[in-house]
Amino acid sequence: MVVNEFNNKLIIVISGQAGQGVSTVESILTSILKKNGYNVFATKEYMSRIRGGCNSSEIIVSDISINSFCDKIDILFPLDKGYSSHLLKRISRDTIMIGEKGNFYPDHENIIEIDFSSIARKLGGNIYTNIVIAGLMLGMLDTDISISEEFIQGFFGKKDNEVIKKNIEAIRSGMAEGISLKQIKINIEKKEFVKTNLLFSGTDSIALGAIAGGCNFIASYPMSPSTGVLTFLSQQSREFGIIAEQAEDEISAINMSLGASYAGARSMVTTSGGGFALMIEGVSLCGMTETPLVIHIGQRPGPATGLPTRTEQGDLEMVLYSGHGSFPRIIFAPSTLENGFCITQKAFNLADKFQIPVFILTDQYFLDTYYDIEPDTLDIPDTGNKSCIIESNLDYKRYELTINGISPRSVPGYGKGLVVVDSDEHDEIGHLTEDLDIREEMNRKRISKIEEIKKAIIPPVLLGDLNRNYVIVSWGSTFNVIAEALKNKEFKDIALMHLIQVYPLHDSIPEYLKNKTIILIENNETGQLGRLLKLEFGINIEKRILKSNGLPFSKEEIEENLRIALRS
Amino acid sequence: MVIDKHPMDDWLRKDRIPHIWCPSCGIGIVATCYIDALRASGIDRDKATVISGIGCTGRIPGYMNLDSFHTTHGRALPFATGIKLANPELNVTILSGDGDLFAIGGNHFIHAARRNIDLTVICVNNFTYGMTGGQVAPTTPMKAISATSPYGNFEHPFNLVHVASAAGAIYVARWTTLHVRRLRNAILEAMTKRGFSFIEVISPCPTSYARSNKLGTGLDIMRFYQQRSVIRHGFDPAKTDITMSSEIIVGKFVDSEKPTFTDNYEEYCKKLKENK
Ligand SMILES: Cc1ncc(C[n+]2csc(CCOP(=O)(O)OP(=O)(O)O)c2C)c(N)n1
Repeated sequence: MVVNEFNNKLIIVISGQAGQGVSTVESILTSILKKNGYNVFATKEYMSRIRGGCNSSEIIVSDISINSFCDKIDILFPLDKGYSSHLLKRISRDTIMIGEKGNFYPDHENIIEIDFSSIARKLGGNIYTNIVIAGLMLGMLDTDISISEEFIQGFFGKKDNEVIKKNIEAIRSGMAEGISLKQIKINIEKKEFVKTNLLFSGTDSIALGAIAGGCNFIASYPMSPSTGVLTFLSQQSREFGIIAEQAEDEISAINMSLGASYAGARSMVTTSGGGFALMIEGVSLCGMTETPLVIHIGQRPGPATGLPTRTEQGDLEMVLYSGHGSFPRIIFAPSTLENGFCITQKAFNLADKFQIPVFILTDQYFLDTYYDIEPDTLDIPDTGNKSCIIESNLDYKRYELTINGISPRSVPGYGKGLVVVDSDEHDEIGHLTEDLDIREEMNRKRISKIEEIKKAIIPPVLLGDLNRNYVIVSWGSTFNVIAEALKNKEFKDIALMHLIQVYPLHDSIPEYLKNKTIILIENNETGQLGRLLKLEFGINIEKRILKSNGLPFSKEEIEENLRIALRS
Repeated sequence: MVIDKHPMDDWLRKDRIPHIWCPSCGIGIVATCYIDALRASGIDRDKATVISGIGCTGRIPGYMNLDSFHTTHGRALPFATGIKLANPELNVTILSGDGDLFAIGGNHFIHAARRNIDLTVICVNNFTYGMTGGQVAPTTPMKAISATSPYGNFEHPFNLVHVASAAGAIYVARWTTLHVRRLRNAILEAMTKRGFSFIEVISPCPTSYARSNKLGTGLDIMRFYQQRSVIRHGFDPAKTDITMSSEIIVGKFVDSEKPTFTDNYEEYCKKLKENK
């Protein structure tokens, strides 16, 4: 018997049709493994359909956090005989397939046949198959049955006792099978502190960050991959006193959120590129009326409907230039899930302070990824959520000219004054004006806020010392995978400059890049951040690693491309 | 009897099968009824065009061996209006979901009906957003559970046939996916009639709506339709609201005549030329 040994980390992939429960296995496994003290990471790729096709989830179990997508597959559980071409490319001869006879890829030799269905049928039906599979994996690793049982209790909590009992039996049968599987030996150390780590997804990080930022209003329209933020907040609406309204479309959604903000709410919208295209009129209204708003955009490949369930960093330029006329804005692109939480919390406070639209750019990869996080890394500044709203007095002027361009903001019904707002050009009170001198003054006032905004720019994240000859420039969700690739000793001459704030840009950037060979890494076809760096600082970038097939960069892919970049 | 050819093979893009719809979803029934009606209509196949927006229903044209256009979400109607203006000879049918036609596309719907442009609109109403995972729709009945109405919907829904008739549609009918023959006949009638025709098809979403509201299996839902449906031709559309516990009033509610957009446009051009 050949024994396959896996030390320190294991990459598991589950594949199957939409509706077969790939995601269920993923969430059960990751939760239980984390509770046992294993570091876990999971991400999924799926088709735009509710049934059929071929979807897959990757789970990495490790003894130190590896929070980045890898191409390599150690163990594959095919729940179905269909394989997408991109999944096939990842299967190597070393990949062990565990599953039922009919589901193996033809000619693949490294297989372990287990008839999950018949085990499940003995328990009462095919519906237990997924739990048996999860159980098998738990048995192969060193896990505590009582943790699994407790989890199953909670997971199926709303169902009747019989269902819970059956599922516990299913997990036990799977575990027994896994323990007896001698062909695979896994040595991954568990850590006590991991047990109490938080396990959340990118979607959760944005939604929880919003709650932490005092968000009490969201109006949106469902659009993958951003919908999860709306559903999360609507499901938490009772708990946290949030108004969560599903509008009839994105135009309505952004205007509802602006209306709520005018009335004093901390409001947001969540959408994707196609939906944001419809919101752009509202962005302009936001700019003109200086109404605070947080806009979350979960990017997916465009143009038009594009690839609804895939990932891309393709909307930076649209967001940067959205809305006619000139007005300041802030654009964030969180690098990690921890960062997504903190940035979102911060976004609400900056929107309130500067009375501008604050954008958060994530993408499908970011939103559908989850891993365990040490609670301490989620530090929220002590300043909390101090509201900038003031009580108005009788002679209140909503657009009072001030030195820094920021006029004290009041809301209707709070104080003796009136809050007059107009989408037309307006005077200090807020009344429509066609006085062209006032127009110029007001336009300058709005634009001048940028000076104050610049004082608060988040500097780029730097990895590696400054003497290195190469610097990678990247932004948003690619951080973890690039950082993981850079652990490889081959790349000791490469540093990383990663942007979390992509607009306005921190003025230290050109200094860092001086006399270096720059390697731009972006999950889009044209290098949108690269173009912005050229525009803002005149920086020229020769080496570019770009990708727009709808999938995220894998660690191996980054490594491979960096090797090419170093050679050429 | 064993046949080696599906009777609709010629009308379907076989290479695109298997389709994406869930078992016991009603969308396939609507697609079949449309093809059957088109065949019976004698309309030249080269003159038939199917248009849709985005959603599970919006995927229908992709499986048909006809000229087709899958537009962006909500935009099927203005797009179809453009087709009909540019080439009035085409027989244009729109097949889309309730969210697509009445939420994001609601404004377009009332204006297309107002113009009485010669289009046939078939709306698959499954009371939810199927494609995006079962969120609340403008048709979701009060109290119904969805991903974005976790404690029960509290918004008044649209009564689609009422909206259509009030906005000016000259043909308005409602059937369920149980009423296959009547639905097929209604489509035939609507597509051969000049002017803006609207057919609402009540259809199950087994994965989202039925599950979150405990409506049972596909068969249970068919039984539900059988028990709840009441045929009332010519009934006042204003009185046909659907709630979670009401009857489902089905039938042909409006069948009238009025000059179409194209008629008026031709008339207008003629006048302009005469007065030159
Ligand atoms: C501008 C825009 N916003 C949102 C979406 C996401 N989206 C795709 S389909 C859909 C709703 C589908 O519901 P419905 O029209 O009722 O059709 P069904 O899937 O139920 O057949 C939504 C919101 C999109 N594609 N484009």
